[in-house]
Amino acid sequence: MMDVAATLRTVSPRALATWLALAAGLSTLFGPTFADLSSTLWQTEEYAHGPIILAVVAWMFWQHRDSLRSPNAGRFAGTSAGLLLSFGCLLYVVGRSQSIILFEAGSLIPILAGSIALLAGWPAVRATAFPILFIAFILPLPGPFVDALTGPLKQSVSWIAESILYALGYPIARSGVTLSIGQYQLLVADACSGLNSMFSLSALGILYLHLMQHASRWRNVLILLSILPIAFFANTIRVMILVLVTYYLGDSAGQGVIHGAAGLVLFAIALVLFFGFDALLGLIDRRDRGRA
Amino acid sequence: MNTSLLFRPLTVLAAMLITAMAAGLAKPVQRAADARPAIDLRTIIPRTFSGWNEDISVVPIQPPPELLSILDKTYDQVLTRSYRDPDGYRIMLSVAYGGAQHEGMNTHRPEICYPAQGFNLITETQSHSITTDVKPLPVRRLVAAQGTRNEPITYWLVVGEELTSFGLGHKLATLKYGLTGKIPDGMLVRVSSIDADNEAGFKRQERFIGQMISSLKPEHQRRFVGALSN
Repeated sequence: MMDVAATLRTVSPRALATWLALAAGLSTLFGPTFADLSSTLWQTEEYAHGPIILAVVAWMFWQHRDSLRSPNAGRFAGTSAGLLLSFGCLLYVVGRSQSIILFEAGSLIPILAGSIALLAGWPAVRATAFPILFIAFILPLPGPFVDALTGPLKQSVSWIAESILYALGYPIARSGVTLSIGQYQLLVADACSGLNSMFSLSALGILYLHLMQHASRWRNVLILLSILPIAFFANTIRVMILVLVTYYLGDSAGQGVIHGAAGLVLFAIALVLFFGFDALLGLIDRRDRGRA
Repeated sequence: MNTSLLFRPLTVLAAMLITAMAAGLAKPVQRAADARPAIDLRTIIPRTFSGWNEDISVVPIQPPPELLSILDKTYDQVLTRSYRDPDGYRIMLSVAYGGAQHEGMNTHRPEICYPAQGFNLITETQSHSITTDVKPLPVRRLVAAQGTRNEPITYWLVVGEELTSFGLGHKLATLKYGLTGKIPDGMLVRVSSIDADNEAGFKRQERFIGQMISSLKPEHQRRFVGALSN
């Protein structure tokens, strides 16, 4: 009897109307946004993961649908939620009218958080905080951020690649971000900085952490901290592979198909290191031992 | 159904619908270029000036066909012309002008256009300032090469009446116009030569650019170097 009553309550006309209203509003705003993204940003190699992240976010919301059921007759958030929603809407207006994708798509985060707070209370927002924030991985990295980090990353990668290959006995020299090996000269371009792979691998790493639900905090922190170094290391290996391919097989080999293949190798190395590291920690982690 | 319980969902929906409308209304539609006289690059840039003469025997690098179709959509006029000085030195000029600037313009950056054509970038892009009769002109310089063809390149970008650079500068300049409801026009000027000596090539290009700017009519100079006050 209680179950039937509970079920009836959970599909109340009010709840249905509430979520339909939200769905209608979000589609009006972000339907065009995602349509634009799919014909522009998501076509590029660096941001092709966009739709996948979106699907993952949607799936996570579905998993959390119980916490989204409005607590009956509770006191919902008011002013702060309204402000957050208003801020999100303003961000959207500026982003969409001025073609700033970061603002237009990024506004989904405050708009979603504000709406859920208004309709289901702050506890619901806390429960869905991960999928809401994970939306950030759909967004393009801000230009100034990319500009500031690309240079230093390229310098570091070039320096390490040259040092290691030199130590291995290769005739390699470096001038800035230009590597000279044998008769060839290679410019470590912006795409080789590894910034985009760091971004994608961070998304993967954070998602993995969230799904694994390790009990020990230190384990989670260590895994989190390992993401960027692992990504950087994998990218350095990629650059070294490309340098060696050029050295042994010539310029055209280095620039062609091998470039894409080397990218996949980067990912494979990074994932192996990452999962391996977690497995290693798992051996030491006492709190997880009891789990199957 | 108790209508007061629907107040919140309806308010949220209304807020979103208003936001969607506001975004549409705030979108800039007026082209800043429409407020100025139309220009034809082929006529405003002289074919002969300061000893430079048009040379039809060398064709500057054109973008590949796929890019050309994008160019057609994004740029209104593209001028590619070669010049020769009395010593026989050849300089390639490529000017792309569009009535409406937007994100797609980034594909015309030499850093992207040349590698798309199979060139390798040899140096990092550096900033430099060229002295002209009118005002100092900040330019960007890089070197691209393909086989034995070594090509130093000098380029600059004007958005509306503002000299700017690709990246954040371009975005901010476009935004300044956008927030007042206008779409700025834009001009990308690229000067290059085939020269094994990068420094010598850059020097020649610098001289060419100074002389070219001086050869333009005063009302056209602003299109190429931005407003004279900045």
